[in-house]
Amino acid sequence: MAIQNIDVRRCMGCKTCIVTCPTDVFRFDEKSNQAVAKYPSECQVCQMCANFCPVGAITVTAEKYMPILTAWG
Amino acid sequence: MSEETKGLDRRDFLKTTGFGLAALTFAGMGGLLIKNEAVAAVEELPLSRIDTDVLVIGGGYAGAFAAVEAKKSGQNVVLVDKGTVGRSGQTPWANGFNVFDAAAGDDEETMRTGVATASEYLNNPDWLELQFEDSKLRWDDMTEWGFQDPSLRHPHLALRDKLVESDVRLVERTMLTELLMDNGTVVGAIGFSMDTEETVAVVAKATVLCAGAGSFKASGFPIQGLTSDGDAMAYRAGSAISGKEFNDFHFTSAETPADCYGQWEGMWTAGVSETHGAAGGGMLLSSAISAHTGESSGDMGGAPGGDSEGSAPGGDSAGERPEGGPPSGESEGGMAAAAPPDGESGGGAPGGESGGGSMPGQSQGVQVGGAATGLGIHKAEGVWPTDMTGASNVPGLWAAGDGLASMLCGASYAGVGLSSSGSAVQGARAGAGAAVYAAKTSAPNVSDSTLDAVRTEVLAPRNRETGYSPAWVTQLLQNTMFPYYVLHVAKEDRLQAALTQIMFLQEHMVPMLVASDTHDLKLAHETKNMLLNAEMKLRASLFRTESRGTHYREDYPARDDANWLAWVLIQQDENGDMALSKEMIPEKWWPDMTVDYQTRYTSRFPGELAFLGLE
Repeated sequence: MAIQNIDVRRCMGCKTCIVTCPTDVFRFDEKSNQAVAKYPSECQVCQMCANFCPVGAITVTAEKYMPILTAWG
Repeated sequence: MSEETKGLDRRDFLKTTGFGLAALTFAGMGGLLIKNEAVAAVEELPLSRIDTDVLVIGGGYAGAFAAVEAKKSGQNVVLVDKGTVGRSGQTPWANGFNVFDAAAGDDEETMRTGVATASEYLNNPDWLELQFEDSKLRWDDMTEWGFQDPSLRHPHLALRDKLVESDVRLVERTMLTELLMDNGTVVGAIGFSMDTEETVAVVAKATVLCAGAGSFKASGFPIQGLTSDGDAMAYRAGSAISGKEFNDFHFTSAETPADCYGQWEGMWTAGVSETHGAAGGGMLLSSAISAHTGESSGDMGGAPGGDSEGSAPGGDSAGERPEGGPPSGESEGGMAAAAPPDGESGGGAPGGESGGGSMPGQSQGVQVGGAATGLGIHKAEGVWPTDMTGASNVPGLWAAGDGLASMLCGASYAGVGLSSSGSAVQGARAGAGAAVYAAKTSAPNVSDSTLDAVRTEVLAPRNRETGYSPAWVTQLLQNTMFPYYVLHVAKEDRLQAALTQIMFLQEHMVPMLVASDTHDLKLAHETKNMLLNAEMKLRASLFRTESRGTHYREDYPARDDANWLAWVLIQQDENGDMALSKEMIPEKWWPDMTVDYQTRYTSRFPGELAFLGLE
């Protein structure tokens, strides 16, 4: 998994990751007032979210696995 | 849910486990097609309309400079970005800015020769003249805008600060995907917000496309947010498009091919610096040819797009760089330092990086090409200009930067930092040109019923109950287009086979794409636009029956100056079909035809000399 984790103990809900991500991985969760990686399959592993996050809450790893190719989907 | 799986929604979880399809089938839900989990009736979704003088689409160098310049001319300007300004597209990763400065020793004739040689004579030198005139001015602007301010979290955020300061209205995280037309004239564009279900229509006297280029969301290069949206909407509006048969050269790590940051961290951290002079910038082709033949490109004497010494990734058959320090042509990960002396392309092959070695900022380790497959050459693909402001053949429409086929570069990239400064220079010129047009044009009369008709089309995937997921169709596109033997080592039968697949996806799958939210809607339009880009690339590659720069045809393995000192234009014909034509390059820009072929072109494609009867 590319975008691995948002540390709920650190995320302060500033939405910086949401406006930073070029591929729209993040959305804001109104219940927790924190960001969630709602569309992790879109992560391009550019680490811009982690680099811009003011509290170092985001972990991105080097590996990414594509979905299995099915006959239709 | 555990912290590890917190980011996964239910559908991702089902897909990951393989349980989703079984559940659908056994439950008999919606037959065999994907069911849209949240169908939205178009008439229930809000429509937001903005009227302005100049609309700029895209917020990188080109868009920011276009908007600032148009605003400076007294026009109201709205800039719409699919992401946010300074963070979207390729701009945040740029770290070389090519400046022509005679006072610093730059020489015009040397630069002309260097760019023409690297471009294999498919460049348009008139656009280089603009670089001579404007590139230092734009660099000075950037300095004034605070690029070097250490308090910025990233240099390119200065673009956004400048737009805010200039009172340009920003509409961010909004994807505009169709141009609005009135009697054959572009009068704005329509799309949708990522964060709300709102349709956004911007009605404008003049529209400047600065939406960049695009890839097929290949892994390992920071370009997956770009999907040729500008080229696609311009083509659909009747604009001519060019430069599609040439291919980008970036690599990724073979061990962790998705690790974009690990590969290009040096580009991110280096900051923005001046570069000078011309140089070949590509090396993918030699590597792809090596992958095809099993022979090292060094043995081939350096293929175009490669390096004659075989030291580029793929330059030896394993694709592994020689051990030791950083490759020549690079120092400490900074693009700025990679400019060769004297602006010459030097001993490296045309289209190759002089001196060989890796791209600036690139990681060490085993490399594989195709990290930006689908992307062409910077400053050499996109909307075909009809004048030096980047006006297209469609009234009301301009383009600049990587969305303009200015042909500042040609069949290969021609100078470190030319992309960034070319975007800035062209953006400012386009903004000025669009402002002049807007000043003498009355406000377009676009009725709400016209907007409703277009938005019904744009929002169709949200309204569709069953169909195919954009992610799955993108996967099929990637399976068709990624292998090196389609675009990088091309041949008529394989191009034709790929085209058959792409046409089927366009004709059968695109009208059936479903989107259950705005994110999926974005993916649906990106998929549609990438498929159109794939069709253009395949048709242009078929059309150019020669090899040149980063375009290599196994069945036509040599340059054909008699027929192909020409640009390929792609445009809809009167039936709406994709038609290709040639625009011959003026004779004054040809290479010296009095010298023999092997002197005119010093790098060799495999099979080239035998094909020409020269060996």
